[in-house]
Amino acid sequence: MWLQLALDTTITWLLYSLAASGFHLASTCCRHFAFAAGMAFITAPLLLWSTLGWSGMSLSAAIALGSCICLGAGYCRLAAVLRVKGCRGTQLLIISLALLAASENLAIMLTGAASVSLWDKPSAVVLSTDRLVITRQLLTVLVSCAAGVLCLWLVWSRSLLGIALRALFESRWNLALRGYNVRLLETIGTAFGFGILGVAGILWASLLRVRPVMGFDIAVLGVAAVLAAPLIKPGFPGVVWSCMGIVVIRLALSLYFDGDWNLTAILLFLILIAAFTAPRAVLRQISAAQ
Amino acid sequence: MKGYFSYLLVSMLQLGLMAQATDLLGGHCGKLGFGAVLAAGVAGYAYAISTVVFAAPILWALLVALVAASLLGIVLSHTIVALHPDAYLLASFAFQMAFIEMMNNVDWSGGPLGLRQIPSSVFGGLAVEATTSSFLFLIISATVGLLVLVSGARRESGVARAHHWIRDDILSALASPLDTRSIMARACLVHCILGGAAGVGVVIAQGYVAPRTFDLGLSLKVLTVVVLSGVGGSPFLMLLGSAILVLVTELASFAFTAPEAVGPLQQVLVSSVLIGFLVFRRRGIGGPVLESGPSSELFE
Repeated sequence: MWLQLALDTTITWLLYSLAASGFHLASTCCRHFAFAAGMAFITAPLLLWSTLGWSGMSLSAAIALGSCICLGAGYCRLAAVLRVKGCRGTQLLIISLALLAASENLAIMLTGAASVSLWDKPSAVVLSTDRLVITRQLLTVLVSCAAGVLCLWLVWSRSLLGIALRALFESRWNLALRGYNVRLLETIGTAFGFGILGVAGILWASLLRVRPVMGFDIAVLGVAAVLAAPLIKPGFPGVVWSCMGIVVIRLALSLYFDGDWNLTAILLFLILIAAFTAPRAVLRQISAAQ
Repeated sequence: MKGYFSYLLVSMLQLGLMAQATDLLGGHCGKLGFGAVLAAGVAGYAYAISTVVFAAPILWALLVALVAASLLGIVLSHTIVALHPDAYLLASFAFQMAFIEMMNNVDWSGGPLGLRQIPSSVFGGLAVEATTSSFLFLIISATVGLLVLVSGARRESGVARAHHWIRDDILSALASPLDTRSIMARACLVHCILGGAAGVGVVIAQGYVAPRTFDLGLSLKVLTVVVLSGVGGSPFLMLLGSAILVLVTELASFAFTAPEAVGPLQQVLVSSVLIGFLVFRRRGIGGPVLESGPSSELFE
Protein backbone atom coordinates (compact mmCIF):
# COMPACT_ATOMS: atom_id res chain seq x y z
CA MET A 1 0.00 0.00 0.00
CA TRP A 2 2.78 2.39 0.97
CA LEU A 3 4.69 1.80 -2.27
CA GLN A 4 1.58 2.52 -4.33
CA LEU A 5 0.89 5.61 -2.25
CA ALA A 6 4.48 6.83 -2.73
CA LEU A 7 4.25 6.33 -6.49
CA ASP A 8 0.88 8.14 -6.76
CA THR A 9 2.18 11.00 -4.61
CA THR A 10 5.30 11.34 -6.76
CA ILE A 11 3.20 11.52 -9.92
CA THR A 12 0.87 14.09 -8.34
CA TRP A 13 3.89 16.16 -7.24
CA LEU A 14 5.42 16.10 -10.72
CA LEU A 15 2.09 16.96 -12.38
CA TYR A 16 1.47 19.79 -9.90
CA SER A 17 5.01 21.09 -10.47
CA LEU A 18 4.52 21.12 -14.23
CA ALA A 19 1.15 22.88 -14.03
CA ALA A 20 2.24 25.36 -11.36
CA SER A 21 5.39 26.22 -13.34
CA GLY A 22 3.24 27.07 -16.35
CA PHE A 23 0.95 29.18 -14.21
CA HIS A 24 3.92 30.90 -12.53
CA LEU A 25 5.47 31.76 -15.89
CA ALA A 26 2.19 33.06 -17.34
CA SER A 27 1.36 35.10 -14.22
CA THR A 28 4.78 36.70 -13.96
CA CYS A 29 4.85 37.59 -17.65
CA CYS A 30 1.28 38.99 -17.55
CA ARG A 31 2.04 40.90 -14.30
CA HIS A 32 -1.06 39.61 -12.49
CA PHE A 33 -2.42 36.27 -11.26
CA ALA A 34 -3.45 34.85 -14.62
CA PHE A 35 -6.36 32.60 -13.61
CA ALA A 36 -7.10 32.47 -17.34
CA ALA A 37 -4.07 30.16 -17.71
CA GLY A 38 -6.39 27.45 -16.35
CA MET A 39 -8.09 27.64 -19.78
CA ALA A 40 -5.04 25.94 -21.33
CA PHE A 41 -5.34 23.11 -18.81
CA ILE A 42 -8.85 22.26 -20.05
CA THR A 43 -8.51 23.33 -23.69
CA ALA A 44 -5.59 21.01 -24.54
CA PRO A 45 -7.13 17.71 -23.35
CA LEU A 46 -10.58 18.62 -24.72
CA LEU A 47 -9.13 19.48 -28.12
CA LEU A 48 -7.08 16.29 -28.11
CA TRP A 49 -10.18 14.28 -27.19
CA SER A 50 -12.31 15.89 -29.89
CA THR A 51 -9.71 15.65 -32.70
CA LEU A 52 -8.40 12.14 -31.96
CA GLY A 53 -11.28 10.66 -33.95
CA TRP A 54 -10.26 12.12 -37.31
CA SER A 55 -6.52 12.73 -36.96
CA GLY A 56 -3.51 10.92 -35.59
CA MET A 57 -2.12 11.32 -32.10
CA SER A 58 0.75 13.62 -33.12
CA LEU A 59 -1.44 15.94 -35.20
CA SER A 60 -4.06 16.14 -32.42
CA ALA A 61 -1.38 16.92 -29.82
CA ALA A 62 0.12 19.57 -32.11
CA ILE A 63 -3.31 21.19 -32.64
CA ALA A 64 -4.03 21.12 -28.90
CA LEU A 65 -0.68 22.57 -27.83
CA GLY A 66 -0.61 25.08 -30.72
CA SER A 67 -4.02 26.37 -29.63
CA CYS A 68 -2.80 26.76 -26.04
CA ILE A 69 0.28 28.69 -27.17
CA CYS A 70 -1.85 31.01 -29.36
CA LEU A 71 -4.28 31.46 -26.45
CA GLY A 72 -1.39 32.45 -24.18
CA ALA A 73 0.05 34.95 -26.65
CA GLY A 74 -3.41 36.45 -27.22
CA TYR A 75 -4.11 36.74 -23.50
CA CYS A 76 -0.77 38.46 -22.86
CA ARG A 77 -1.48 41.02 -25.58
CA LEU A 78 -5.02 41.61 -24.25
CA ALA A 79 -3.67 42.19 -20.72
CA ALA A 80 -1.05 44.61 -22.07
CA VAL A 81 -3.68 46.57 -24.03
CA LEU A 82 -5.97 46.75 -20.98
CA ARG A 83 -3.11 47.95 -18.77
CA VAL A 84 -2.41 50.72 -21.26
CA LYS A 85 -6.13 51.61 -21.18
CA GLY A 86 -5.86 52.07 -17.40
CA CYS A 87 -7.11 48.74 -16.06
CA ARG A 88 -5.96 48.19 -12.46
CA GLY A 89 -4.55 44.92 -11.10
CA THR A 90 -7.82 44.01 -9.38
CA GLN A 91 -9.78 44.52 -12.59
CA LEU A 92 -7.34 42.36 -14.58
CA LEU A 93 -7.66 39.67 -11.91
CA ILE A 94 -11.46 39.75 -12.19
CA ILE A 95 -11.29 39.60 -16.01
CA SER A 96 -8.94 36.64 -15.71
CA LEU A 97 -11.31 34.81 -13.33
CA ALA A 98 -14.30 35.59 -15.55
CA LEU A 99 -12.45 34.26 -18.63
CA LEU A 100 -11.71 30.99 -16.83
CA ALA A 101 -15.32 30.67 -15.63
CA ALA A 102 -16.64 31.44 -19.15
CA SER A 103 -14.35 28.88 -20.78
CA GLU A 104 -15.29 26.18 -18.25
CA ASN A 105 -18.99 26.79 -18.82
CA LEU A 106 -18.45 26.85 -22.58
CA ALA A 107 -16.71 23.48 -22.27
CA ILE A 108 -19.70 22.14 -20.29
CA MET A 109 -22.06 23.41 -23.00
CA LEU A 110 -20.03 21.77 -25.78
CA THR A 111 -19.04 18.46 -24.18
CA GLY A 112 -21.48 18.03 -21.30
CA ALA A 113 -20.90 18.21 -17.54
CA ALA A 114 -19.75 14.59 -17.20
CA SER A 115 -16.06 13.73 -17.39
CA VAL A 116 -14.75 11.94 -20.48
CA SER A 117 -11.89 9.49 -20.92
CA LEU A 118 -9.11 10.22 -23.42
CA TRP A 119 -8.58 6.54 -24.17
CA ASP A 120 -11.15 3.90 -25.15
CA LYS A 121 -9.40 0.83 -23.75
CA PRO A 122 -8.07 0.23 -20.24
CA SER A 123 -4.30 0.43 -20.02
CA ALA A 124 -2.12 -2.70 -20.01
CA VAL A 125 -0.52 -3.70 -16.72
CA VAL A 126 3.30 -3.52 -16.77
CA LEU A 127 3.95 -4.68 -13.22
CA SER A 128 1.58 -6.21 -10.69
CA THR A 129 2.53 -7.34 -7.21
CA ASP A 130 0.72 -7.40 -3.86
CA ARG A 131 1.99 -3.94 -2.99
CA LEU A 132 2.25 -2.22 -6.36
CA VAL A 133 0.37 -2.09 -9.66
CA ILE A 134 1.92 -0.12 -12.51
CA THR A 135 0.02 0.34 -15.76
CA ARG A 136 1.55 1.49 -19.04
CA GLN A 137 -0.42 4.75 -18.75
CA LEU A 138 0.93 5.42 -15.27
CA LEU A 139 4.49 4.73 -16.40
CA THR A 140 4.13 6.96 -19.48
CA VAL A 141 2.76 9.84 -17.40
CA LEU A 142 5.47 9.40 -14.75
CA VAL A 143 8.28 9.41 -17.31
CA SER A 144 6.76 12.31 -19.29
CA CYS A 145 6.24 14.41 -16.16
CA ALA A 146 9.76 13.74 -14.89
CA ALA A 147 11.18 14.58 -18.32
CA GLY A 148 9.05 17.75 -18.46
CA VAL A 149 10.20 18.96 -15.03
CA LEU A 150 13.83 18.16 -15.90
CA CYS A 151 13.54 20.05 -19.22
CA LEU A 152 12.01 23.04 -17.42
CA TRP A 153 14.83 23.02 -14.89
CA LEU A 154 17.42 22.89 -17.70
CA VAL A 155 15.71 25.72 -19.59
CA TRP A 156 15.47 27.75 -16.37
CA SER A 157 19.06 27.26 -15.24
CA ARG A 158 21.08 26.77 -18.44
CA SER A 159 19.41 28.26 -21.53
CA LEU A 160 19.45 31.85 -22.82
CA LEU A 161 15.63 31.96 -22.56
CA GLY A 162 15.91 30.92 -18.90
CA ILE A 163 18.43 33.68 -18.19
CA ALA A 164 16.20 36.24 -19.92
CA LEU A 165 13.14 35.03 -17.97
CA ARG A 166 15.03 35.16 -14.66
CA ALA A 167 16.08 38.70 -15.49
CA LEU A 168 12.46 39.54 -16.34
CA PHE A 169 11.31 38.15 -12.97
CA GLU A 170 13.92 40.27 -11.15
CA SER A 171 13.44 43.60 -12.95
CA ARG A 172 11.69 44.26 -16.24
CA TRP A 173 12.91 47.89 -16.16
CA ASN A 174 16.54 46.80 -15.97
CA LEU A 175 15.96 44.49 -18.93
CA ALA A 176 14.24 47.22 -20.95
CA LEU A 177 17.07 49.67 -20.26
CA ARG A 178 19.55 47.10 -21.57
CA GLY A 179 17.69 47.09 -24.90
CA TYR A 180 15.73 43.80 -24.62
CA ASN A 181 12.29 43.65 -26.20
CA VAL A 182 10.43 43.09 -22.92
CA ARG A 183 6.99 43.01 -24.56
CA LEU A 184 8.08 40.18 -26.88
CA LEU A 185 9.73 38.30 -24.03
CA GLU A 186 6.54 38.59 -21.95
CA THR A 187 4.45 37.29 -24.85
CA ILE A 188 6.83 34.36 -25.39
CA GLY A 189 6.87 33.63 -21.65
CA THR A 190 3.06 33.64 -21.39
CA ALA A 191 2.68 31.48 -24.50
CA PHE A 192 5.29 29.07 -23.10
CA GLY A 193 3.46 29.00 -19.74
CA PHE A 194 0.11 28.24 -21.41
CA GLY A 195 1.87 25.53 -23.47
CA ILE A 196 3.28 23.90 -20.32
CA LEU A 197 -0.19 23.98 -18.75
CA GLY A 198 -1.56 22.35 -21.91
CA VAL A 199 0.99 19.52 -21.61
CA ALA A 200 0.15 19.14 -17.91
CA GLY A 201 -3.57 19.06 -18.78
CA ILE A 202 -3.08 16.29 -21.34
CA LEU A 203 -0.97 14.22 -18.91
CA TRP A 204 -3.50 14.79 -16.12
CA ALA A 205 -6.38 13.75 -18.38
CA SER A 206 -4.47 10.66 -19.56
CA LEU A 207 -4.17 9.44 -16.01
CA LEU A 208 -7.60 10.47 -14.77
CA ARG A 209 -10.35 11.85 -17.01
CA VAL A 210 -11.13 15.16 -18.73
CA ARG A 211 -13.41 17.28 -16.55
CA PRO A 212 -14.59 20.65 -17.93
CA VAL A 213 -14.17 22.24 -14.46
CA MET A 214 -10.63 21.04 -13.73
CA GLY A 215 -9.02 24.34 -14.76
CA PHE A 216 -10.18 26.12 -11.64
CA ASP A 217 -8.48 23.72 -9.19
CA ILE A 218 -5.20 24.01 -11.03
CA ALA A 219 -5.46 27.83 -11.13
CA VAL A 220 -5.85 27.89 -7.33
CA LEU A 221 -2.82 25.60 -7.02
CA GLY A 222 -0.90 27.94 -9.34
CA VAL A 223 -1.81 31.01 -7.25
CA ALA A 224 -0.58 29.26 -4.09
CA ALA A 225 2.68 28.25 -5.78
CA VAL A 226 3.24 31.78 -7.11
CA LEU A 227 2.61 33.23 -3.62
CA ALA A 228 4.75 30.70 -1.77
CA ALA A 229 7.65 30.27 -4.22
CA PRO A 230 9.45 33.57 -3.43
CA LEU A 231 9.31 32.72 0.28
CA ILE A 232 11.07 29.40 -0.30
CA LYS A 233 13.37 29.97 -3.29
CA PRO A 234 12.66 32.42 -6.12
CA GLY A 235 11.61 31.11 -9.52
CA PHE A 236 11.17 27.56 -10.78
CA PRO A 237 12.85 25.71 -7.84
CA GLY A 238 10.54 27.51 -5.39
CA VAL A 239 7.48 26.39 -7.37
CA VAL A 240 8.64 22.75 -7.33
CA TRP A 241 9.28 22.85 -3.55
CA SER A 242 5.90 24.53 -2.97
CA CYS A 243 4.17 21.73 -4.89
CA MET A 244 6.06 19.18 -2.79
CA GLY A 245 4.74 20.86 0.38
CA ILE A 246 1.16 20.93 -0.93
CA VAL A 247 1.28 17.27 -1.97
CA VAL A 248 2.66 16.17 1.42
CA ILE A 249 -0.10 18.06 3.31
CA ARG A 250 -2.72 16.66 0.93
CA LEU A 251 -1.41 13.15 1.54
CA ALA A 252 -1.49 13.64 5.33
CA LEU A 253 -5.07 14.94 5.18
CA SER A 254 -6.28 12.14 2.92
CA LEU A 255 -4.72 9.54 5.24
CA TYR A 256 -6.50 10.80 8.34
CA PHE A 257 -9.77 12.29 7.03
CA ASP A 258 -12.42 11.24 4.53
CA GLY A 259 -13.38 13.50 1.63
CA ASP A 260 -11.64 15.74 -0.86
CA TRP A 261 -9.16 18.12 0.82
CA ASN A 262 -7.35 19.56 -2.22
CA LEU A 263 -8.13 23.22 -1.52
CA THR A 264 -7.63 22.83 2.24
CA ALA A 265 -4.16 21.39 1.63
CA ILE A 266 -3.29 24.43 -0.48
CA LEU A 267 -4.60 26.89 2.12
CA LEU A 268 -2.91 25.06 5.01
CA PHE A 269 0.36 25.11 3.11
CA LEU A 270 0.07 28.87 2.54
CA ILE A 271 -0.67 29.47 6.23
CA LEU A 272 2.29 27.28 7.29
CA ILE A 273 4.65 29.01 4.86
CA ALA A 274 3.56 32.45 6.07
CA ALA A 275 3.93 31.38 9.72
CA PHE A 276 7.39 29.88 9.27
CA THR A 277 8.94 32.37 6.87
CA ALA A 278 7.80 35.60 8.52
CA PRO A 279 9.83 35.04 11.74
CA ARG A 280 12.82 34.09 9.55
CA ALA A 281 12.47 37.36 7.64
CA VAL A 282 12.42 39.28 10.94
CA LEU A 283 15.54 37.45 12.15
CA ARG A 284 17.25 38.26 8.84
CA GLN A 285 16.41 41.94 9.36
CA ILE A 286 17.83 41.86 12.91
CA SER A 287 21.07 40.17 11.81
CA ALA A 288 21.39 42.63 8.90
CA ALA A 289 20.98 45.55 11.33
CA GLN A 290 23.66 44.13 13.64
CA MET B 1 -46.86 32.82 -13.56
CA LYS B 2 -47.32 34.76 -10.33
CA GLY B 3 -44.82 32.42 -8.66
CA TYR B 4 -42.36 32.98 -11.51
CA PHE B 5 -42.49 36.77 -11.12
CA SER B 6 -42.04 36.57 -7.37
CA TYR B 7 -39.05 34.27 -7.98
CA LEU B 8 -37.57 36.92 -10.32
CA LEU B 9 -38.19 39.65 -7.76
CA VAL B 10 -36.56 37.62 -4.99
CA SER B 11 -33.52 36.87 -7.23
CA MET B 12 -33.15 40.59 -7.99
CA LEU B 13 -33.30 41.52 -4.31
CA GLN B 14 -30.79 38.82 -3.34
CA LEU B 15 -28.29 39.91 -5.97
CA GLY B 16 -28.95 43.61 -5.34
CA LEU B 17 -28.33 43.27 -1.60
CA MET B 18 -25.09 41.36 -2.12
CA ALA B 19 -24.00 43.89 -4.75
CA GLN B 20 -24.72 46.78 -2.35
CA ALA B 21 -22.63 45.04 0.30
CA THR B 22 -19.77 44.43 -2.16
CA ASP B 23 -19.90 47.99 -3.47
CA LEU B 24 -19.80 49.48 0.03
CA LEU B 25 -16.40 47.91 0.65
CA GLY B 26 -15.23 47.66 -2.98
CA GLY B 27 -16.55 50.76 -4.65
CA HIS B 28 -16.48 53.21 -1.73
CA CYS B 29 -13.54 51.90 0.34
CA GLY B 30 -11.43 50.43 -2.49
CA LYS B 31 -11.49 46.78 -1.36
CA LEU B 32 -13.31 44.82 -4.05
CA GLY B 33 -13.64 41.17 -3.06
CA PHE B 34 -15.81 38.16 -2.35
CA GLY B 35 -16.60 39.01 1.29
CA ALA B 36 -20.34 39.53 0.68
CA VAL B 37 -20.83 36.06 -0.81
CA LEU B 38 -18.74 34.57 1.99
CA ALA B 39 -20.93 36.35 4.55
CA ALA B 40 -24.02 35.14 2.67
CA GLY B 41 -22.71 31.59 2.90
CA VAL B 42 -21.87 31.84 6.61
CA ALA B 43 -25.24 33.38 7.51
CA GLY B 44 -27.16 31.02 5.20
CA TYR B 45 -25.53 27.97 6.75
CA ALA B 46 -25.97 29.38 10.28
CA TYR B 47 -29.71 29.78 9.60
CA ALA B 48 -30.00 26.32 8.03
CA ILE B 49 -28.07 24.54 10.80
CA SER B 50 -30.03 26.36 13.53
CA THR B 51 -33.39 25.39 12.06
CA VAL B 52 -32.66 21.90 10.70
CA VAL B 53 -30.05 20.49 13.11
CA PHE B 54 -31.03 22.30 16.32
CA ALA B 55 -34.73 22.85 15.47
CA ALA B 56 -34.51 26.46 16.66
CA PRO B 57 -37.46 28.85 16.09
CA ILE B 58 -37.10 30.92 12.91
CA LEU B 59 -36.58 34.26 14.67
CA TRP B 60 -33.79 32.76 16.80
CA ALA B 61 -32.24 31.27 13.66
CA LEU B 62 -32.36 34.69 11.98
CA LEU B 63 -30.61 36.20 14.98
CA VAL B 64 -27.94 33.47 14.96
CA ALA B 65 -27.37 34.04 11.23
CA LEU B 66 -26.91 37.79 11.61
CA VAL B 67 -24.61 37.31 14.62
CA ALA B 68 -22.54 34.83 12.57
CA ALA B 69 -22.27 37.37 9.73
CA SER B 70 -21.27 40.10 12.21
CA LEU B 71 -18.59 37.85 13.73
CA LEU B 72 -17.26 37.19 10.25
CA GLY B 73 -17.16 40.96 9.69
CA ILE B 74 -15.07 41.39 12.84
CA VAL B 75 -12.71 38.58 11.78
CA LEU B 76 -12.29 39.98 8.27
CA SER B 77 -11.74 43.53 9.52
CA HIS B 78 -8.96 42.32 11.83
CA THR B 79 -7.26 40.06 9.32
CA ILE B 80 -7.51 40.94 5.64
CA VAL B 81 -9.21 44.33 5.20
CA ALA B 82 -5.93 46.21 5.71
CA LEU B 83 -4.30 44.33 2.83
CA HIS B 84 -3.52 45.81 -0.61
CA PRO B 85 -6.65 45.67 -2.86
CA ASP B 86 -5.27 42.83 -5.04
CA ALA B 87 -4.23 40.86 -1.97
CA TYR B 88 -7.65 41.51 -0.36
CA LEU B 89 -9.41 40.11 -3.43
CA LEU B 90 -7.28 36.96 -3.33
CA ALA B 91 -7.56 36.58 0.45
CA SER B 92 -11.36 36.93 0.43
CA PHE B 93 -11.44 34.40 -2.40
CA ALA B 94 -9.29 32.04 -0.31
CA PHE B 95 -11.63 32.47 2.68
CA GLN B 96 -14.63 31.68 0.46
CA MET B 97 -12.96 28.58 -0.99
CA ALA B 98 -11.94 27.42 2.51
CA PHE B 99 -15.53 27.85 3.70
CA ILE B 100 -16.95 25.88 0.74
CA GLU B 101 -14.36 23.14 1.22
CA MET B 102 -15.19 22.90 4.92
CA MET B 103 -18.94 22.71 4.27
CA ASN B 104 -18.25 20.03 1.64
CA ASN B 105 -16.35 17.83 4.07
CA VAL B 106 -17.97 18.08 7.49
CA ASP B 107 -20.99 16.01 8.51
CA TRP B 108 -23.00 18.60 10.45
CA SER B 109 -23.37 20.80 7.35
CA GLY B 110 -24.76 17.91 5.29
CA GLY B 111 -21.63 17.47 3.17
CA PRO B 112 -21.81 18.04 -0.61
CA LEU B 113 -25.58 17.42 -0.63
CA GLY B 114 -26.17 20.14 1.96
CA LEU B 115 -29.18 20.56 4.21
CA ARG B 116 -32.74 20.21 2.96
CA GLN B 117 -36.26 20.98 4.15
CA ILE B 118 -35.26 24.24 5.78
CA PRO B 119 -38.41 25.62 7.42
CA SER B 120 -39.48 28.98 6.04
CA SER B 121 -43.24 28.82 5.84
CA VAL B 122 -43.85 30.69 9.11
CA PHE B 123 -42.63 34.27 9.12
CA GLY B 124 -43.39 36.51 12.08
CA GLY B 125 -46.38 34.36 13.01
CA LEU B 126 -47.80 34.47 9.45
CA ALA B 127 -48.10 31.21 7.52
CA VAL B 128 -46.71 32.04 4.07
CA GLU B 129 -44.90 30.11 1.30
CA ALA B 130 -41.07 30.10 1.02
CA THR B 131 -40.80 32.65 -1.81
CA THR B 132 -43.09 35.10 -0.05
CA SER B 133 -41.30 34.74 3.25
CA SER B 134 -37.91 35.22 1.51
CA PHE B 135 -39.36 38.24 -0.30
CA LEU B 136 -40.59 39.74 2.98
CA PHE B 137 -37.25 39.17 4.67
CA LEU B 138 -35.28 40.52 1.70
CA ILE B 139 -37.45 43.59 1.25
CA ILE B 140 -37.01 44.47 4.95
CA SER B 141 -33.24 43.89 4.71
CA ALA B 142 -32.97 45.85 1.45
CA THR B 143 -34.93 48.80 2.91
CA VAL B 144 -32.79 48.89 6.06
CA GLY B 145 -29.64 48.45 3.93
CA LEU B 146 -30.67 51.22 1.55
CA LEU B 147 -31.44 53.57 4.43
CA VAL B 148 -28.01 52.91 5.97
CA LEU B 149 -26.14 53.10 2.68
CA VAL B 150 -27.95 56.12 1.27
CA SER B 151 -27.53 58.10 4.48
CA GLY B 152 -23.84 57.14 4.53
CA ALA B 153 -23.28 57.75 0.82
CA ARG B 154 -24.65 61.32 0.75
CA ARG B 155 -22.08 63.68 -0.76
CA GLU B 156 -22.03 65.88 2.34
CA SER B 157 -21.75 62.88 4.71
CA GLY B 158 -18.49 62.64 6.64
CA VAL B 159 -18.57 58.84 6.48
CA ALA B 160 -18.72 58.83 2.67
CA ARG B 161 -15.90 61.37 2.41
CA ALA B 162 -13.75 59.37 4.81
CA HIS B 163 -14.42 56.18 2.80
CA HIS B 164 -13.52 57.92 -0.45
CA TRP B 165 -10.39 59.43 1.07
CA ILE B 166 -9.23 55.96 2.12
CA ARG B 167 -10.10 54.60 -1.34
CA ASP B 168 -8.45 57.36 -3.34
CA ASP B 169 -5.38 58.11 -1.26
CA ILE B 170 -4.66 55.60 1.50
CA LEU B 171 -1.22 57.05 2.34
CA SER B 172 -2.51 60.53 3.17
CA ALA B 173 -5.50 59.00 5.02
CA LEU B 174 -3.11 56.98 7.18
CA ALA B 175 -1.00 60.06 7.87
CA SER B 176 -4.10 62.09 8.84
CA PRO B 177 -5.83 61.98 12.27
CA LEU B 178 -8.55 59.86 10.63
CA ASP B 179 -9.02 56.50 12.43
CA THR B 180 -8.86 54.46 9.22
CA ARG B 181 -8.84 51.14 11.08
CA SER B 182 -12.16 51.65 12.84
CA ILE B 183 -13.76 53.25 9.74
CA MET B 184 -12.83 50.20 7.67
CA ALA B 185 -13.92 47.87 10.48
CA ARG B 186 -17.38 49.47 10.59
CA ALA B 187 -17.68 49.36 6.80
CA CYS B 188 -16.67 45.68 6.85
CA LEU B 189 -19.27 44.96 9.54
CA VAL B 190 -22.10 46.56 7.53
CA HIS B 191 -20.76 44.78 4.42
CA CYS B 192 -20.99 41.37 6.13
CA ILE B 193 -24.40 42.01 7.74
CA LEU B 194 -25.90 43.01 4.36
CA GLY B 195 -24.28 40.00 2.68
CA GLY B 196 -25.52 37.77 5.50
CA ALA B 197 -29.09 39.06 5.13
CA ALA B 198 -28.97 38.24 1.42
CA GLY B 199 -27.65 34.76 2.23
CA VAL B 200 -30.54 34.07 4.61
CA GLY B 201 -32.91 35.26 1.85
CA VAL B 202 -31.32 32.80 -0.60
CA VAL B 203 -31.67 29.88 1.83
CA ILE B 204 -35.29 30.72 2.74
CA ALA B 205 -36.27 31.01 -0.93
CA GLN B 206 -34.57 27.75 -2.00
CA GLY B 207 -35.53 25.69 1.04
CA TYR B 208 -32.12 24.01 0.97
CA VAL B 209 -28.48 24.95 1.17
CA ALA B 210 -25.43 23.27 -0.35
CA PRO B 211 -21.78 24.32 -0.76
CA ARG B 212 -22.43 25.06 -4.43
CA THR B 213 -25.11 27.63 -3.50
CA PHE B 214 -22.37 30.12 -2.55
CA ASP B 215 -19.63 29.22 -5.04
CA LEU B 216 -17.53 31.20 -7.51
CA GLY B 217 -20.47 31.46 -9.93
CA LEU B 218 -22.47 33.54 -7.44
CA SER B 219 -19.40 35.68 -6.65
CA LEU B 220 -18.93 36.46 -10.33
CA LYS B 221 -22.64 37.30 -10.65
CA VAL B 222 -22.38 39.77 -7.75
CA LEU B 223 -19.23 41.33 -9.20
CA THR B 224 -21.00 41.61 -12.56
CA VAL B 225 -23.87 43.53 -10.95
CA VAL B 226 -21.40 45.88 -9.21
CA VAL B 227 -19.40 46.53 -12.40
CA LEU B 228 -22.56 46.82 -14.52
CA SER B 229 -24.13 49.33 -12.11
CA GLY B 230 -20.91 51.30 -11.66
CA VAL B 231 -18.28 50.68 -8.98
CA GLY B 232 -18.68 53.29 -6.25
CA GLY B 233 -22.08 54.38 -7.56
CA SER B 234 -25.45 54.86 -5.91
CA PRO B 235 -26.94 51.96 -3.86
CA PHE B 236 -30.13 52.26 -5.96
CA LEU B 237 -28.13 51.53 -9.12
CA MET B 238 -27.14 48.17 -7.65
CA LEU B 239 -30.82 47.18 -7.58
CA LEU B 240 -31.18 48.37 -11.20
CA GLY B 241 -28.06 46.43 -12.21
CA SER B 242 -29.31 43.26 -10.55
CA ALA B 243 -32.69 43.66 -12.27
CA ILE B 244 -30.97 43.97 -15.66
CA LEU B 245 -28.72 40.96 -15.05
CA VAL B 246 -31.54 38.74 -13.78
CA LEU B 247 -33.69 39.65 -16.80
CA VAL B 248 -30.86 39.07 -19.28
CA THR B 249 -29.99 35.67 -17.78
CA GLU B 250 -33.67 34.71 -17.71
CA LEU B 251 -33.98 35.60 -21.39
CA ALA B 252 -31.08 33.20 -22.02
CA SER B 253 -33.16 30.38 -20.55
CA PHE B 254 -35.58 30.78 -23.45
CA ALA B 255 -32.75 30.22 -25.96
CA PHE B 256 -32.97 27.16 -28.19
CA THR B 257 -30.58 24.98 -26.21
CA ALA B 258 -30.82 21.72 -24.35
CA PRO B 259 -32.25 22.19 -20.83
CA GLU B 260 -28.98 21.06 -19.21
CA ALA B 261 -27.06 23.74 -21.15
CA VAL B 262 -29.14 26.65 -19.80
CA GLY B 263 -27.14 27.03 -16.56
CA PRO B 264 -23.73 27.11 -18.30
CA LEU B 265 -25.14 29.45 -20.98
CA GLN B 266 -26.28 31.86 -18.26
CA GLN B 267 -22.84 31.71 -16.61
CA VAL B 268 -21.12 32.39 -19.96
CA LEU B 269 -23.45 35.35 -20.44
CA VAL B 270 -22.70 36.73 -16.96
CA SER B 271 -18.94 36.36 -17.50
CA SER B 272 -19.23 38.03 -20.93
CA VAL B 273 -21.13 41.00 -19.47
CA LEU B 274 -18.49 41.32 -16.73
CA ILE B 275 -15.57 41.18 -19.17
CA GLY B 276 -17.34 43.45 -21.66
CA PHE B 277 -17.99 46.18 -19.10
CA LEU B 278 -14.49 45.93 -17.60
CA VAL B 279 -12.92 46.22 -21.05
CA PHE B 280 -15.18 48.79 -22.73
CA ARG B 281 -16.94 50.76 -19.99
CA ARG B 282 -15.42 50.49 -16.55
CA ARG B 283 -17.76 53.16 -15.15
CA GLY B 284 -20.73 50.87 -15.73
CA ILE B 285 -24.19 52.45 -16.04
CA GLY B 286 -23.67 55.29 -13.59
CA GLY B 287 -20.46 54.85 -11.64
CA PRO B 288 -18.22 57.82 -10.83
CA VAL B 289 -14.93 58.59 -12.57
CA LEU B 290 -12.44 57.61 -9.87
CA GLU B 291 -9.57 60.02 -9.38
CA SER B 292 -6.87 60.25 -6.78
CA GLY B 293 -6.90 63.13 -4.35
CA PRO B 294 -10.15 65.13 -4.48
CA SER B 295 -11.99 63.17 -1.77
CA SER B 296 -9.29 63.92 0.81
CA GLU B 297 -9.29 67.60 -0.14
CA LEU B 298 -13.09 67.71 0.16
CA PHE B 299 -12.91 66.07 3.60
CA GLU B 300 -10.37 68.58 4.91
